[in-house]
Amino acid sequence: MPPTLRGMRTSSLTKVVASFALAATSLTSATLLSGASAQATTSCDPSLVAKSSSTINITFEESMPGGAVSGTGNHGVLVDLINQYNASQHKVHVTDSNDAGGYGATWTKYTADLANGGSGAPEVVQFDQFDSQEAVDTQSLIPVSSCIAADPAFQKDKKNLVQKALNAYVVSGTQAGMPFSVSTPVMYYNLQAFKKAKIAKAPTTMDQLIADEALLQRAGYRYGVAIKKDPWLTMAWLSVNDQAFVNNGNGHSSRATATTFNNSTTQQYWSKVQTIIRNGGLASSLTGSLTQAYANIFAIANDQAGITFDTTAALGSISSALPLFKNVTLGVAPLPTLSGKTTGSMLPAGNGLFIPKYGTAAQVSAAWDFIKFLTSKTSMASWASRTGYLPIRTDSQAAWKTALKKQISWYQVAFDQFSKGLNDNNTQGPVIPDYEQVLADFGPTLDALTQSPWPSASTELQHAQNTTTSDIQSYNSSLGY
Amino acid sequence: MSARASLVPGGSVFRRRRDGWLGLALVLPALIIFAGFTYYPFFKNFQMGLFKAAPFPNLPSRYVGTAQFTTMLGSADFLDSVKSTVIYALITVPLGVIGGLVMAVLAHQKLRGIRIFRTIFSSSVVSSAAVAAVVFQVILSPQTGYLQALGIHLPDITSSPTWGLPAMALVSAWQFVGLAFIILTAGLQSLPDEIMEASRVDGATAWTRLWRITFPLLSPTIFFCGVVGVIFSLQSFGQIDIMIGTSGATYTHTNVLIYAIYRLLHVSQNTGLAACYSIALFVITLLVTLIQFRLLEKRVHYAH
Repeated sequence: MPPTLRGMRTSSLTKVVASFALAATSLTSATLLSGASAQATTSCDPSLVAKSSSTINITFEESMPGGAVSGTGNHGVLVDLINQYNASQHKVHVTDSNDAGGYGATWTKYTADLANGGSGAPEVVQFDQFDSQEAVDTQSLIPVSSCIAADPAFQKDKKNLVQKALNAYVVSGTQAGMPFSVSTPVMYYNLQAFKKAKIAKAPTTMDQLIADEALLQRAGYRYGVAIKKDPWLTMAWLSVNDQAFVNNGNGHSSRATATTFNNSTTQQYWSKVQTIIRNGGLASSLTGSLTQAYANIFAIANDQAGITFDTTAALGSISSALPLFKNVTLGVAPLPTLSGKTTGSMLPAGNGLFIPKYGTAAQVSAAWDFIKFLTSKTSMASWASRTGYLPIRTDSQAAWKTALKKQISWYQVAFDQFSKGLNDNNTQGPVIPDYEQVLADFGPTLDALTQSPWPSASTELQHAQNTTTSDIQSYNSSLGY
Repeated sequence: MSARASLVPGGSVFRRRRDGWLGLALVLPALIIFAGFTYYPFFKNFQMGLFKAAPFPNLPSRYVGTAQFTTMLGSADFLDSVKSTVIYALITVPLGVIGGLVMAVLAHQKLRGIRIFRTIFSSSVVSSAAVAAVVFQVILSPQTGYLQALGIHLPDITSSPTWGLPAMALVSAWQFVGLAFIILTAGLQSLPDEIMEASRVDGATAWTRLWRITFPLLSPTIFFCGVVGVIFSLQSFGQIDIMIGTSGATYTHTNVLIYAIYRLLHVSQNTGLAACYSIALFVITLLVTLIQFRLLEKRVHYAH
């Protein structure tokens, strides 16, 4: 033994042991305390904000991308709105908590808060629309329907909202969250490419799209048409044909137990897409780096394709980048259909606002007040015109159109697709249990459909339907359904 | 020494006891860290495997016994995952070790500027999985990659079931080759010069020296490198997550065990089944390492 240790006194030893014991006890206590459940509020009383004598502090957890600088990117625009809200009154103060990793990061952070019994959970949280069922399944939310029921002023204002956007957040008959950002898939095309290929107007049917692809390729556009392998397209095609992605009223009436997307409509669409890809079109990836996930858009910019499909949410970024690409004159049109007509309408997609139950009654009231501000006429006009999302209010349209000036024709296409036509469960967007898993299950099918040996659409879609149904049932059973 | 003498302070029994407590106190910090971050999670895995977890942490789990282990062993996904893991390791380890060995032998020459080459050869070891993934994305992207710019048209590895796994293994091998190079260079530098000198005096050619002397003497290092390589390849995750992700047909072919665990945890929120997969990965790693020791160690020549 080294001399220093041999000479150590017993009392010192006792101190060392005692210190570790104390540290361990402190650590255990801290762990237990941090794991303690936060209180739960079960109802929503919107009048508490007005009654409060002091400022109510709340946190807003959101996933908008873009710079942290006020006014830059979608996040910057949101920060502007938060600042406006904080400056407009003194009863509520909102602190922004941005997750740069997107919806997935917000979800992970939120579920981590749930593991701590709700301690640290925000008072308002933003989730992907298609995660609504899972959000409800966490049993951690106060449905906004309880705030609406207790808010006569909002009940009057409700008629100004696009009802389909509101209905998209109805889960098992209850208004679970409030819509905030809405986007739809549209067809982007390059008018300069059309001119070179002698294409008179944007295709309205899938057969016209196939014909235009050949013309574009002949005009020197390597791919002609670029299509992103996105399950969202399947949802969109079902919606414009008034058909459901999942059963039980597309998940709105009661919990979905199976997917129902394999039918003659989707089979025909995917067969047409197969023809496009077999003829030399680009089937691009849904995920990955910027160049991977937007390879279809880059194909337009690089003169490799003249037509693609993508979200209107990309319009803001595309229009800012457009001056760099003199070879592109952008055109936006509705997605082509099988017959050129629609029996349903385009589903909304995007994100919504939810109220966790872990705040005090006053904080819940403040959360609802803030949500009303974000979805108000003025805020919505500002949000939509500066981001590329579509306004969820009809009374925001005038200001929205004025702000967008010449670009309004692009956005109007998307807004008309979404707001006109049928509003029923099939066109409000599906409510899918275990959405992320369903999305992951769908990927291999879309890859298989768009490459050799070119399996039949019915076989591949049936395989995806079986897998997704099995996963939905496994998810439901883990919750006791 | 009498019994009485041993019980008084300074006596041997008392001292042994005191030293024992002191030893315990000194290892206690490390023990707490290991207990908290290694042993507890390890044993907790076995417990988690017995419960069907609700998808959210605030909801209760259900005891299902060994049902999830049985489900896993009978599932096609698990068997595919094991197959992918084995193929992945079979590509990564030989490529990494042979690449590292070739570079180590080349860099073992006494040439001017050799240190620069040594630095270049070992640089991949300091590149994170994210950096490696981005480097290869920039090279391989069928739309914007360097090879594309040079007129070499490659299939999109992110959606190619045929090329996805080999491409990911190539990225891992590139990362591992730097580590293999450092280990094997250290091994080469520790070889006794007198044996090499003697062989030169005896007229052995460079090839004979390499094949008959260097490789046998280096075999313990190569063996160590192989074991490290297998463990490294079984833990490869970042490049697959960045370059492939959880969607797409390629995913099903690059679903190595570690990635399957991640997917079960973060996509399916299925902690119970993820725990079963983790135990399976532990068992496979243990078995492969034991097999390596049993089969390959016999061919290793240790210098005495």
